[in-house]
Amino acid sequence: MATEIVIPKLGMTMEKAKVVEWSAQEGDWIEEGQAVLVIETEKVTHEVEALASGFLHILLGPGTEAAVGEAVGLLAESKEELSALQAERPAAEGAGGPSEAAASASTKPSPESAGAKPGGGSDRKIKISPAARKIARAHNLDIALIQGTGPGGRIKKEDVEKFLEQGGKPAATEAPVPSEDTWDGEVVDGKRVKASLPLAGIRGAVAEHMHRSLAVSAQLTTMGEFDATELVRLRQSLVEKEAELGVRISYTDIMVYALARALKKNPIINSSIVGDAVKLWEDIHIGVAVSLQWEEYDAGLIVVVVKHADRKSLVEISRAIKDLKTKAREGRIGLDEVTGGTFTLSNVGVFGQGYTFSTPVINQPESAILGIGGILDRPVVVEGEIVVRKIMNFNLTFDHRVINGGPAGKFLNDLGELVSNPYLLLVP
Amino acid sequence: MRELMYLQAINEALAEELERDEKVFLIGEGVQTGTFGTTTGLVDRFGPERIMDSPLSETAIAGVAVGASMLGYRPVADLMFADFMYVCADEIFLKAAQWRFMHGGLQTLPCVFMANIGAYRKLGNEHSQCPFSLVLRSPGLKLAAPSDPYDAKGLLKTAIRDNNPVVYFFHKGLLGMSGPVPEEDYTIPFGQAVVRREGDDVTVVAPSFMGFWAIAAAEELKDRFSVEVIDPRTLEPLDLDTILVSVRKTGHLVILDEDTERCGFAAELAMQVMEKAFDDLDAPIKRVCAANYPIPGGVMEKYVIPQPEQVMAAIEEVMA
Repeated sequence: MATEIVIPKLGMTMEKAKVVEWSAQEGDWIEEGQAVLVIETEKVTHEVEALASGFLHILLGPGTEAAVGEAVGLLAESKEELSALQAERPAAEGAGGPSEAAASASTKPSPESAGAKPGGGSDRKIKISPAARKIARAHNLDIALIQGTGPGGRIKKEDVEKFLEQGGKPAATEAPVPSEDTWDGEVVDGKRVKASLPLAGIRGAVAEHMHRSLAVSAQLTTMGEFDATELVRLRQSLVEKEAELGVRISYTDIMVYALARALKKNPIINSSIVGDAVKLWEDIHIGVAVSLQWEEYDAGLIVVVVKHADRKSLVEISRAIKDLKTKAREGRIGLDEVTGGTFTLSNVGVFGQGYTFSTPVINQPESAILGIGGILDRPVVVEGEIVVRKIMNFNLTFDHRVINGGPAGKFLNDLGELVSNPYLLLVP
Repeated sequence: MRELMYLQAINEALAEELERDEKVFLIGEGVQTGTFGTTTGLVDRFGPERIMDSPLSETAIAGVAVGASMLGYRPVADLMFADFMYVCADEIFLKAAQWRFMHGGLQTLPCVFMANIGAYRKLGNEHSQCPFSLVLRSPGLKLAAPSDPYDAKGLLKTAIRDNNPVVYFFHKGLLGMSGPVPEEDYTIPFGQAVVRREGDDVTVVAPSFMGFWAIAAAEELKDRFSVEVIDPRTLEPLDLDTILVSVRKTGHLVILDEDTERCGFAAELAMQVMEKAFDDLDAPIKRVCAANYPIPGGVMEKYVIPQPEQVMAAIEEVMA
């Protein structure tokens, strides 16, 4: 009885895989446990080992896809059985050996797969003695460039000293510069891959959302500056009262408070297209973009929503944002706390990159988003004099399907008035 | 300076201490005759009450030493072969070693357990042991292991004057070795290693008889490597500083130990060096010890105990 070689289920969501390469040829004798096949699934490659010994009969060639559990090859117990199987169902295209499809596959097969050696990848760790490492660290050397002459290629103290004598630069002929030949990681389109981040979870959601937003709406960005001198003063006095207020008021908090008032006066900005109508929302729910913790290469982004921001006091807004941020960063935020917004604020000033402008992308199905930068000392002309003022730049992206330049300008004027003269916030 | 043999240096140290302090006495099997010459003739000077021949019972010898030391005497218990310490293990390793701790430091036990160690004489398993680790893993015991006549005398005198139990291992392969020994009174403090040969490339730590192999290997390899040889002299207390200074200079360490390899002095020292000087090591530490095996009698013993070729191979390996 022939034994099947099937596509294994490697993950909960895995449904199918692509045959990248067969490590043996049609008719070859395969030992149990031998790596016989390389498959690829969602950018991950995997070696499949034979579960029994036998003569290999390949059913599916490189480049073809197969479902989990599907047999892609058979292991015949005898030559006779192999012949019978071959007669019943001819070997797949390219079963004679590694095909062009395999050669052009996105992943370069590891030496192990070619050599049919089961088990893990090659040891890429560089062997170096503690004494040698100490010197290399002291001189900030890249030990990958140092040729080791000790047992098993171990880098010795002497090797590092020699390397330093040669000016710390690798000798042109002997230095092993990492090349594609020695790279056993992934290679895509001739470029070596440092890391592969799955387009899933938050990254996937952001990707999908941003692209769709630009595809479905007509976005236009207006940029400019607000004079935030008085706003800084106000915020400072509030921060001094942190103990009494029980909360440290941030610029984001004040801006949400001011936006709620400005939006109330400009309902067209606080709207969405639903079906064939523009719905102006009575409720003012302001989303606040929150950057999550940095992982190795990426930081997540999530928009938390302050419901009924127009009905909340500054302290309530501040508490709500802090609470939502904490929940978001601890991964326990609820769906209703990140949906239902009518307008979004993105304060990139916290990243501290200085005086920059950007074009925020609308958080669908809203009609506008305000990006604000850090507050910096800038020269401005006041009553014919060049003076230094605290300047906050703004970037308002709005959906031109809904909002024309006029209403957008009016909204920015109203908001700018509140920012430059925040005492007006006392007047409802 | 006059020269004495190792065994004569031991004999002279005993005589001088017996002379100096009437509380000092010697007990053991055949000490009046002196099996190795180390105690021969002492009975003529100090009488049978201070040079006591015991029955054939190591338990009795060690028991007398422990009891007498508690009463203010300074006994030297001659156990002849270190292999026989297993017979009186309780007296040495639990009672003598630990009673001072058990009595809150109030009770001193100034006794010396003297015994010969080592193989290379084809004497078989129970007359060839070198049980360093047995002593080292018993808290409360000091361990001296002289490798020349000068140290043999100086360390034994320090041992007898110490208020704590000391194990004094003299090597049977060194008994006939001659060397300079001063006539005036001197002692060698415990915990002071000595650099027997200076070198820059590799450190070889070699206690007792192993120093012989180390020096021989250093000489043999001198055109290729500059070998530094260190004799710890006492394994407890151990002069780790001298060893660390050397390892920091050379970056390479070979440890010789005639005792059985597993859980031995070499293993312990290698670990301590790793803890204190990891970043100074340029190669893994190598040890040359007796195999984890009983010591066979006759010519077969060479397949178990350390050989000079192994010492050279170890030096070459760490220098590879």
